Amino acid sequence: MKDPSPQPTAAAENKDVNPADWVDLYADYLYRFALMRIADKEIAEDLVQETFSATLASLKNNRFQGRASLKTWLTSILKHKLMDHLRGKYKHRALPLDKIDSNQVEESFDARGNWQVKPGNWGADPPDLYEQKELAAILMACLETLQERQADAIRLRELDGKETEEICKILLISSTNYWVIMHRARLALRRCVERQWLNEA
Amino acid sequence: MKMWMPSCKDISRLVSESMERRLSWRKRAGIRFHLLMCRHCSRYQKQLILLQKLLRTQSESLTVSSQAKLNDKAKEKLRQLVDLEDPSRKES
Repeated sequence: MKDPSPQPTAAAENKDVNPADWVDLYADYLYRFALMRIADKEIAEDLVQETFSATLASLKNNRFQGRASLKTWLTSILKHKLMDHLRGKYKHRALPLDKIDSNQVEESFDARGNWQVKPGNWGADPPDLYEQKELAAILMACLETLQERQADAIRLRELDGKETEEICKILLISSTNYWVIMHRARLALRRCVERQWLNEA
Repeated sequence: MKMWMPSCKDISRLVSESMERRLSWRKRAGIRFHLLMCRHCSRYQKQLILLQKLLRTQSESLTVSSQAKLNDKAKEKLRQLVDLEDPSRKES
């Protein structure tokens, strides 16, 4: 059997991580990963549980052999479950574009198409590492304030790196809808971040 | 020849779209021209790019540093699940 160039940590992890330790090692991480994508804590809990079940099942069937890292494997199973959850969420809804999504576009520009509130000065460009972390925290909080579908679109695109086509399939929208949704989401997100970053009332 | 004079509103839409797909040469040139003249939109674009970068690069670090914890009851359920299913416990 071919022995790949030594990754002692990974190999050791596979062999020596006792399932009994999984909870202490990975449960919180997986839970946070899920929470970053779905708001509902109970569903996040359920998904973590399903992830553990599925992973234990694949260990039984030896499908796990040779995987790089247990944490990566657990996370990838969770990612699939998150996708399935999202697909299910949108399958049962038919959301017309204009009614449900807030129209940040109309609020941001005047009748002539000029900025109502001009984008402000956010400081150093690019921001230093500390500022990046602060901004990122504000950004994640702002993501929660977006309309559901806008937030899901942004997450699928920027957190999960999905392509347009797949996002459209999950959200059950056309690509034109998708561009409109992303445009509105970005306008709203940026404005939200700016308000907090610049400490506006 | 009628010149295409996009408003800031148009440009904001196009900037977002350009982050999703490759626009025609003409549109890209029009955007670039507007951005040269308009510091508001120029700032807007920079900020959008920054936010995209933050989402793409900071989410892992945020996940790790998050304070959220799975509640004890859920963890207990998980431990029981693992106990039941632990493959090293199963023997012939």
